[in-house]
Amino acid sequence: MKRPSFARRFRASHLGVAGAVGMLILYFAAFLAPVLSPYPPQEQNLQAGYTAPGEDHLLGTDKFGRDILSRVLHGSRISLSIGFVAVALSISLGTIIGMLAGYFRGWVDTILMRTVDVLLSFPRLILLLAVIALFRPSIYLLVVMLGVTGWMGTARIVRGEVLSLREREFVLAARALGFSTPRILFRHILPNILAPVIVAATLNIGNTILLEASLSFLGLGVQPPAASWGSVINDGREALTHAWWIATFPGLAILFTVICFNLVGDGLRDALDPRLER
Amino acid sequence: MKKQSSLPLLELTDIRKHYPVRKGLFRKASGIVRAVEDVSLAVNRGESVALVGESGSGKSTIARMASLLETPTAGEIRFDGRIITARREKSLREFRRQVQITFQDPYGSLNPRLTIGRAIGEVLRVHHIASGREVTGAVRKLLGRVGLSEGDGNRYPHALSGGQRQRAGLARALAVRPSLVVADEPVSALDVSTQAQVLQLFRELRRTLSIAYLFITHDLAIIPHIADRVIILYAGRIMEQGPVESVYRDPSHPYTKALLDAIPRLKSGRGPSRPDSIGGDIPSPLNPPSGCPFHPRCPLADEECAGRLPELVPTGAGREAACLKLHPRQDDT
Repeated sequence: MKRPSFARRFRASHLGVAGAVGMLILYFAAFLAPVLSPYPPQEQNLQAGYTAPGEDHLLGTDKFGRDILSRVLHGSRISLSIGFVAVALSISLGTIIGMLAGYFRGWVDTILMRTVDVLLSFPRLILLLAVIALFRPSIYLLVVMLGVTGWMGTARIVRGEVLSLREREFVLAARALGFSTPRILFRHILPNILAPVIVAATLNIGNTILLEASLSFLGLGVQPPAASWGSVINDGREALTHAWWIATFPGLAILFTVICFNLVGDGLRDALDPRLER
Repeated sequence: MKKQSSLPLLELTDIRKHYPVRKGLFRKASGIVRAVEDVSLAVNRGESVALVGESGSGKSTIARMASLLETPTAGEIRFDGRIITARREKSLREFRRQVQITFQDPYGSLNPRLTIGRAIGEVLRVHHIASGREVTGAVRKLLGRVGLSEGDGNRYPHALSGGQRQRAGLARALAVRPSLVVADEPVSALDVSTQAQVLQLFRELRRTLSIAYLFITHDLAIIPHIADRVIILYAGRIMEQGPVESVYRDPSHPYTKALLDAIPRLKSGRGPSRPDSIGGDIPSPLNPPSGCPFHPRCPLADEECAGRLPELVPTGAGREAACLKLHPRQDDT
């Protein structure tokens, strides 16, 4: 009858645990970047341009002799924080919009969900490129745009959950008790839809980091000389034939991060899925 | 049954609930589910009224309309003499305090993320019945009233048994000191020994707090323990109503007779053999039969029953029944 605790069920998914360990490593790397970096990430040393990985520079240097290891470590801070903040924004938006659509139904639902359909029919990257190209690229604009274009999937998930929850008897009882709609939505419905929201958020972070890297690679994201993984890859693009290390290591960092977040997301889904309850 | 006020506490007049069935891309209405048809009933102050019917008879829909969780398609609901249908939620505050509902499913009726104590405390705070430090004491009192311990207040619904959960739901409803509790199948999900305890609790609460009940059930055997008056529902319409004792002693509608005959009895011994239970199923509310809704299953039915809808007519002693065979051609004279 009693189901094992959440922690135990999460631990049962070995890949999820591996992802969580990888995530921890990432956080440490990002947090300790100033300590771990052998060189300041912006420091140029033109004599040491295009140094291959070796003793002095573990992962080599770029055209200006900047240390790739230091740039990748510092880039993890930018990439991870952009990912987190943008996803926090898109998840909040998606949750609120999904709750409104699912709880009020009728025309509110129709308007919101048709908006979702329209927004989802745009390719996200093209949409981002178009909007960012209109303004001066900056990290803030990037975060806001990533947030504003990423809420639709969450809204759909949340709407579905709320549609079934609003007919549950404890929600009816709350209405019969004369509770206000905000109280019902935030105190009685929201805590009960948190599980799928957390899963969606985790999976979205990996995606968003990937998207940020794409935009930075295209020159519309993080601006030089700041290092984000995407911009370092872009630096290495022209030198790909003779200095493969510049683009490869930040690429591996992205790969590692996205895999970690996806594994954790899948593990959380398995551990939180209400269908596995009882 | 003594009346304290000539005005019924809750009065439903000719209420009706139709659900459109929508199909296709443009959600065109392709049919209507007639869940409740022209039901009128009243609950007086302190009275306990049982509403009984098979599943699909519309009894839960009536419960939800009586507590304004659903809006009737037609008809009027009055509380304390005032019309409350078609009012905005904001002006229903007093009604929401006076009328409470409890549900059948003891798993679904409590928020799984709140402890029992917090769920009850929230009600007290929202309705300004208690605040600050008084809340703990008030919660303990309410828990005691329904036979739960103080420690149960710190537990989550999943840690309680079905009977305890039902008690917790009742405690939450009582927190606002309602004058009417609509109880939608409060014991049918419980095992029999727990049923008796919970029913006993309902009786006690009524005696001590003089609450009125609208008690929804499909179980005729429990009605004499809990209700003064019984209303028999079939296919969204009232078939018969009256004081429990007199209806049970001498049912006038053939449907009531069939229902009462189907109650299993221990004491009947070698009495006259009872007729078998009625065959067939309750008609589809999408496509109700012509005339009397019960005629396809009724042993007394003839062509007249298929053609004419019987009205609910007084049959004396506070009783009413809707059957053409009881008062043949009374409108021809």
